[in-house]
Amino acid sequence: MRPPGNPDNTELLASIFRTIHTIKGSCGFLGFTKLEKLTHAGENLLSQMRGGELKLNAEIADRLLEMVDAVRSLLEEIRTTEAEGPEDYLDLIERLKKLLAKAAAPDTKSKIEPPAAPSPNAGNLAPSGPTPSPPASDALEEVAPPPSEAATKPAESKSASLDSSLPAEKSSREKRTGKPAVIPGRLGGALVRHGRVRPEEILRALQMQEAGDPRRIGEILVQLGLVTERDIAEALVDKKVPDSSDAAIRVDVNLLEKQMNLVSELVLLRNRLLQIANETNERNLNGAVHGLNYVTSELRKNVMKTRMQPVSQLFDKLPRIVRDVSKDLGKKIKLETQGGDTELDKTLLEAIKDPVTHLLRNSMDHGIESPEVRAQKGKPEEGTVWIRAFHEGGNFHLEIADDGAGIDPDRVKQKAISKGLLTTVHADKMTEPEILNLIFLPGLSTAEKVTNVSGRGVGMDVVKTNVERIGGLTKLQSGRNRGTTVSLEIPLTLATIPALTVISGKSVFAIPQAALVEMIAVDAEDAHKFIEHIDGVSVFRFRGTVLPLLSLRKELKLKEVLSDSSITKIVVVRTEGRQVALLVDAIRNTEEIVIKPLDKRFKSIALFSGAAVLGDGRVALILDIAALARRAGMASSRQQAAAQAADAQPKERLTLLLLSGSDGERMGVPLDFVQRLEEFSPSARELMGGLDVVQYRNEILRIIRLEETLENRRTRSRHPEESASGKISAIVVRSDAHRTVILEVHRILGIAKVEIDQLTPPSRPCVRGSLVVQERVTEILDMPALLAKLQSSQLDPALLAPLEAHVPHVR
Amino acid sequence: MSVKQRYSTFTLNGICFGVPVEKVQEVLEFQHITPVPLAAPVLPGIINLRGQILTTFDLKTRLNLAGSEGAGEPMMMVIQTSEGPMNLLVDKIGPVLDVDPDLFEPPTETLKPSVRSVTTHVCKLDGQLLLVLDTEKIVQLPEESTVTSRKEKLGLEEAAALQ
Repeated sequence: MRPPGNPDNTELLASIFRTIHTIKGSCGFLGFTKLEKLTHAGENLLSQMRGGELKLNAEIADRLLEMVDAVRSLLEEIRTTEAEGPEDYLDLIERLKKLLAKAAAPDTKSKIEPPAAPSPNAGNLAPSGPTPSPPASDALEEVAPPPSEAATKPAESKSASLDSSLPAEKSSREKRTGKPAVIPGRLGGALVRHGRVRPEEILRALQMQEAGDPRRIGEILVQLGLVTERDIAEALVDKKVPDSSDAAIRVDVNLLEKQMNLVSELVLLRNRLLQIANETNERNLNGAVHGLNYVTSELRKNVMKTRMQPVSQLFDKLPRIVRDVSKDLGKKIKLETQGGDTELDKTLLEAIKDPVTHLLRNSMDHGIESPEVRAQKGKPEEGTVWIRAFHEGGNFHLEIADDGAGIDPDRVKQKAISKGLLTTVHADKMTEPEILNLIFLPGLSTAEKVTNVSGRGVGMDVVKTNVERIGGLTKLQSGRNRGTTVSLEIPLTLATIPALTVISGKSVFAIPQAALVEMIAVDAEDAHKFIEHIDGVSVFRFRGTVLPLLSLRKELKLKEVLSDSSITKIVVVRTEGRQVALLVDAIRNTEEIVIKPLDKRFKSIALFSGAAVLGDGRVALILDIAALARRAGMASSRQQAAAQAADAQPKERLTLLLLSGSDGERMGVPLDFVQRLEEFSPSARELMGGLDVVQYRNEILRIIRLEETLENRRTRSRHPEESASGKISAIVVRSDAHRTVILEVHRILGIAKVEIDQLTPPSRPCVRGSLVVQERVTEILDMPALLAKLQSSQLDPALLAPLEAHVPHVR
Repeated sequence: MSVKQRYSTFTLNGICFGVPVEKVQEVLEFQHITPVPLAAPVLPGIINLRGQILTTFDLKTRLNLAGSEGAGEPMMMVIQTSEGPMNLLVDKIGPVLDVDPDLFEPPTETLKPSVRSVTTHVCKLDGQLLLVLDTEKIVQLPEESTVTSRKEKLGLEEAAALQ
């Protein structure tokens, strides 16, 4: 049942009436008196409305919806217990009767127009009639709208704001749905089917009609010389397409599933055959294989089509949610959906149901303001949520936009800092889009109060994870007071996924493309500049960040491969919002793979999400990137969130770079401050104006011994013996946006994640306190204090000036 | 006169084993096994059988029969189980034998516990014994079988201690 929409849609009303009437009739027959009474009351009301004596208003709609709910629960009760149950809904029946009485009394409130007068188009937006139209019958309606809507809209809504793009679009739609559309649609559809005209030509004729041409569509087409009158006559006969029951059959989903699997196998076999044919260069074989190639592709396309479902299946459920939620929240919200005929694989449609519902609720709850606030801001009191689906670039896209308050980046930032998800220093460096994307982090909700609709902070991260799970992407755009747009991009099918295949040891492994960030090849000679191995912990320096590095060979305990390449290959992957670098032996290629479940006997290994047969017939195991990352000791963000939720007082979490001093004492520097790890040869240290400096990336930077900066109580040696490599270990620390300092350290030990619960008070300045990390007492450095000290007391401004003046002259 | 039972036979370390012929899907030459890293030794990996991924069991490891018979390549026997087809690695494929059920005997106490636990019965043939294996039990690995008798457990430990 479609609650809002066109109050005058008699056809729809009649359909509802018939349904209720049928239920009532059957009840009398079967002796379900309660249900009969209820449907009787509803039927009376509907009959009045059908006859036009009564107009739909909010109150009537509410009662009718209540009635539908009651009928549903009664039917459910009957299904499970074979009896009607105790509830008799007398109260509801009474209210239904009252409405009817009110209507009967002449000239009472019954003539009141619906308050939140929905635009007359709202009902037409979501394409769904009372009876499902057979797929081919409205060929034109399928073909025609996209050129005018889909073609112009994607570009528009991305560049211009939604508000500005909307009026134009709306008016064009109003025109089209104004008078003609349906009948010519059928005729046009038949003509297109007969191959007499092209859809664009029908559209042209339609546009002429819209522009005021009074003639019928057939006449226009004949006059344009596009068709003959005979074509029209034939098409008019064919207009009545066979009944949907004759043209369609019901098929078990499992059967489809099996068919899809078989076709996937066929595709793989074809790939293999293609490879063989290419190698043998046999003409006859090549010809046959190419034929097979074509047929297989077509077959696959068609089988995939059978699994496709229009997204309207999901859209049709949304108006009710909007209605209920906006009532709960006391807001005026209207929903506009577009592209309901866009198709998506059944399982994927199922998978996006929850995320979409969640995003819709979010928009209504947090996005759209109350009518009073909206009025103050000069916006229409009624807020709008637009949901739009379309295909682009071989993917399914869905956008959920609202014209609400938008997301305040400052509040997101503050929230993230207060939750310990972000440090102030880090936050200042972030761009606005980066900050907005923080709302996808677990445990972050900017809602001031938790409502029963949303705001518990478990939302956006779940949306993102769910979408990522099916290989999709989530994007967010928001402007203060301009509203928020969330876009989902989802592959059309999951039957095959693109994956990168890599080799480690002697085996091939597949990495789903969705998890892939970048592939990097480094000369073995240069590898040490990017990779650090510290006490069994490896890190990879990647675009200014330090990523944990896992060797696939080590993690999987694979045998050493004999011919070791001189090039180090690294694949950077992303999982649960983090990045991890994987060291592999070789990168093979990208190919479409079919995911096959792995035997339960291998489940305990938990590093593979399945297996796949490759084009050459080899079997590859599909890496479970999230599990690999977790194995590497990275607590997944989700676990953190869960732990945080369990913990009433959230503890501060820090990732520390562990250092050891010359006396073996341990120190930890929060990783956020560390830009890079470097090694310098002792000769790189130069003296300038009494300061130790090094040349680093075309800059002259101060190099300061960390232990000198910290007040050490014991005597210290000026230049202790260097590390085994004869090099100076150093960390590059960014103190603020303009200044970088290199801290010389004795030894870098590794990275540790710690929870700061209680710190032992510091024993010297520039230290926040100490705690036990990896069974050793470790001082946590107070980097802001330390950097401030370096800048204020140690750096003489007079010295600093010439230092900075020098920089541009360095090559 | 009782109906004869047909068994597909194979050898492991020279010992003759059999499984009911209707349980055997096919017999294959040795082909490449894709190893699954970190898996138990009894599971050397997976194979691609016409697009289907099959788990491979090293039957000798499964039955705790140490040592190998020469350096020859093992053969593969694909059996049907309630969990779908599974691939067994065996030394040599033998003939299909028709056996009179009168020759059936329960597994003797002298068998290794690891073998006895998956043997349904023993057939005394001319000059040799045929051990008939329960295909369902073979693919249930001891760690995951829900009911493991104490005796069998002891037997396993014993075998492990011997190795």
